[in-house]
Amino acid sequence: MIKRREFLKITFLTFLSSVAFASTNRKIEYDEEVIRPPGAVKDFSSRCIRCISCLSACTRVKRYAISLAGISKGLKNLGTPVVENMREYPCDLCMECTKVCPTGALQEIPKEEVKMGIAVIDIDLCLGWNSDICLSCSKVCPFANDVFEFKNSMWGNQPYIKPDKCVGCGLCVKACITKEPAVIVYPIKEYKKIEKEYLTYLEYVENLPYINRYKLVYEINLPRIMKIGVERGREEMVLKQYKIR
Amino acid sequence: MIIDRIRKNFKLLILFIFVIQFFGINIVSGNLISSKVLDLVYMTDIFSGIELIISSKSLKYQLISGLILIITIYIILGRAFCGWVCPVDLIFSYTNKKNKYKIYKINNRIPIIVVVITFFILISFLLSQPIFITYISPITNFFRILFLPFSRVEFTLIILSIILLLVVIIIDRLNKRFWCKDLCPIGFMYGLLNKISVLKIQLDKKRCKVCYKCNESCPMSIDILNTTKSYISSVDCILCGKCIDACKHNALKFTIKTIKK
Repeated sequence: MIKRREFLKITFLTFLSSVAFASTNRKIEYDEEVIRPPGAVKDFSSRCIRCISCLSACTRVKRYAISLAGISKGLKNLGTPVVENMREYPCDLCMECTKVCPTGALQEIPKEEVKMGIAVIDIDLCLGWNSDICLSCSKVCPFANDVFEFKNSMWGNQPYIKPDKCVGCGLCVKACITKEPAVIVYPIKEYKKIEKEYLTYLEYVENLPYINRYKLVYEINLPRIMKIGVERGREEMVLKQYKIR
Repeated sequence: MIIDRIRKNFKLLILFIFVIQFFGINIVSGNLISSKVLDLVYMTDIFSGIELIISSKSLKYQLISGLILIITIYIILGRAFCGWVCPVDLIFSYTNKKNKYKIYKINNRIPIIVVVITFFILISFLLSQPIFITYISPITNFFRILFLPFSRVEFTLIILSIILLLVVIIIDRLNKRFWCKDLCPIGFMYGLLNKISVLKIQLDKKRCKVCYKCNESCPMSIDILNTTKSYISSVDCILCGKCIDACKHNALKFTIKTIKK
């Protein structure tokens, strides 16, 4: 038989160790349904008090990235901060909004741990995939070393974005030089849906025989890109505006 | 009418402080429901904070510290939030000057406000969504409309906010201060602090000539003359000072209630 004191001792110790374990193993879970400001924790809509302080902070630093969601983002997200229109107003990870949040729904985290969404390159629109050398997206990316990878070939310099490293800030969306951006940031939940299809398409295009690839690049994609139009110098604008590096 | 004028100007000053956050002057960031003040301390409205704690089922130090600060402030000031800060009260004072409050009861024992609060607390617990803050709260809706020129807001949200704010105003038109007295859980939480608050309106019964001017002027329809104590500690008193303005015999005044007297 265990004595009562021993029993208490054991329960107390297990409790302490479990608390210690829980506190060391704590990993932030992010909101995955819509693109949120940086540091938005899981179940954001139930933690957000709709006070607009993050929007005010974003306006103060003149980024204007945060806007308030309406019915189109779902009824439960009404009035919560979202980051949309990254073409005009991307987030440059200044993290000001996380410092003012009065409910802790936006958690103060280092830039590297942000996960707003995942950027996906539309390889039919991307100049780097269609016989050109374009580095606009990687030039403005705050974590370009980790996120971007290039495969040089006769078809261009073929950029890849590593989905587990991309923070989803959207600077590349603004810097993309085609008039209709060839890179789009998806919410994580949406990315998981299209991931399989996207990766198979990448593989399919990479492994196309020479003639088929030639036809795809020079007869279908390039004329389409030229029709949409290209704005050179977007990345310089973004570099200057957001003072990156 | 001096106190009433000071009060309305004070409310406009508060709104001004909230608007200038968009011009780079960071005194507060947020709205009246919840904000960070002077980039230093958090402030969170009592009911909204409680609803959010229940809907999120977690405790964050920002929220707790904001709640504690606001509760300590309003233990001193009582329900002065409604009278001196809340913009909805300001709107009501312009939209409805005539009608009288009619008592409306579902049940003789339980006041409507208790039913409303339990309903919102329960539903926020069950759905894990802060329903009152998101949709109904007229303060939130008011600030969405006020901040519209300075922020990018989806069109549908503003339309919805305007409609919901109008509904509250119409409720007030039909029955004066029915919203404030019987439906608004935000005000009721501060009202509860009226019972223990330090700042109070005192009735000097020696000076009172029982002219009923104060009862007529009270926007919350409190029966001031019938209070048995010399202090007005009704849950509904918003410390607006209209009764003090109306009294011609100086029988009413703001006082600090000490514990033993």
